[in-house]
Amino acid sequence: MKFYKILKILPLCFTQHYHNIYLNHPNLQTLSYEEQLSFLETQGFVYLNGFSSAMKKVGVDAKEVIYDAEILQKTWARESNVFFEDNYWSWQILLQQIIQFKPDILFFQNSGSLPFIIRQWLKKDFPFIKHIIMYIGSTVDTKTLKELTDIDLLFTCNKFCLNFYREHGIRSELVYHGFDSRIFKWASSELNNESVKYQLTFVGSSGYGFHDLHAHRFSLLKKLHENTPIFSWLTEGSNDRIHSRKLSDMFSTKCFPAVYGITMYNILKNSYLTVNTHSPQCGLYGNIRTFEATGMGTCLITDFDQNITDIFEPDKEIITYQSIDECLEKIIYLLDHNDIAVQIAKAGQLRTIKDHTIEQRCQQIDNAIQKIL
Amino acid sequence: MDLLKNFESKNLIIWGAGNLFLQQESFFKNRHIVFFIDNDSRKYNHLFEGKQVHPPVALNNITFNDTKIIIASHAYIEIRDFLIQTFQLLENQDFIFSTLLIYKNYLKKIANLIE
Repeated sequence: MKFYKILKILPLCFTQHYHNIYLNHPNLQTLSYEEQLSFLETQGFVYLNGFSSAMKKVGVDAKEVIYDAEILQKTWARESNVFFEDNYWSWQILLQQIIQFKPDILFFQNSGSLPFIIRQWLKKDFPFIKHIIMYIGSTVDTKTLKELTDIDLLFTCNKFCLNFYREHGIRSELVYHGFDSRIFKWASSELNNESVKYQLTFVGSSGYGFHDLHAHRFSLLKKLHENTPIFSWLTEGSNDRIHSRKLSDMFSTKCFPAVYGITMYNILKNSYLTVNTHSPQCGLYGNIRTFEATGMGTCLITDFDQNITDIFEPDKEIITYQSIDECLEKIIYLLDHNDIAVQIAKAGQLRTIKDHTIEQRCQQIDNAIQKIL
Repeated sequence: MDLLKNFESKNLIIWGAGNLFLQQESFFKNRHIVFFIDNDSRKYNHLFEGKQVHPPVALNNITFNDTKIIIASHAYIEIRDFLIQTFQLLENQDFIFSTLLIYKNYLKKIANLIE
């Protein structure tokens, strides 16, 4: 095994959630960088939480930086006494972090963390950087593809995307999304062992605002709201060409504003059943909710795709559907047979803990990196 | 090649009369901007930051010995390819992405940190 240092560069996934954390914890910004980072991690607010701790278990010296978390990053800059210009604070502070840590590998979570032109010069300007790798969970447009010429290795989250990048000549490997098992512990401590509150939930975008792209999702959720005791926490756009009313307007007593991070995990943990549906852009099965829901121990009801058996055993570890009617039929059955839902939820959780944690994903990432070192 | 030096004290044509230039404008303070180029025809015959905005064809009359192009547009790759194919210009010699120039300038400022 070859040793290396890796710096993962992440974006904030949900900026409003990040700001709310600081609003709700006014003393947080007075803490040191490391203290703020530790606290924010427990709020589950960045994608792939726990990358660095999982990589360390694999034996890799790893750090992660959330490049656009302004308070956090400026705290680091102040403590480190580094110079940056207000207009360009995010990439200049990130650059200083790269200079201080001197990683052999830079690992970007998506293509937007640094202006691509800067990223393309990093290996020339900082010879300690041997490789630049990236994770992208979807396909990208032609313009972005042309900006990826410096990427030595790309990870993506399903076979559709894998084929897309390989067809475009980018060395790519499949690494499914994963579950940070520490979240389960953090969520448990917040719940004080409360009993399950919700029979059926949905957390995510209703599809309103995405026009025909998510019309199927909207129809599914509408039907479930008409026929089941579902509660939804929704992201919805301001207008939609297909639908005249938001789901939250149609079912206002059972729809709530979007939730993120630890609040979302708590809802999943407090649900007997939760519904999942993939974005058409995903390509194939395996979105992050799949692993978040099973990891939190709820019975997942998700749309079927051909690659599902790569990840879970349908009808034993998760429930699948191929139509809105089938989804409704299975939900009604499971609502009448809670014991079966609990049994499937436990099996799904065990499978996720066994095969789909961030630790396992980091092992796969390390295996792929070893081949390019 | 010292990119910063190459683009110092030259007449500058800015490709991109839009938001990216406005965000980076302070970097070009006290520099001699001859005019702007933009693909958006609605901007032609109007002043942008006090200078004329012209279509790309205006580059036909330019001698690039003492004039350089700064691309202040997120469509950098597309513009780069156009300049290379149409005018046989050289990247980072005849033209450069404004963000790269700002990055190189920042590196110069913090050079004492880099071994």
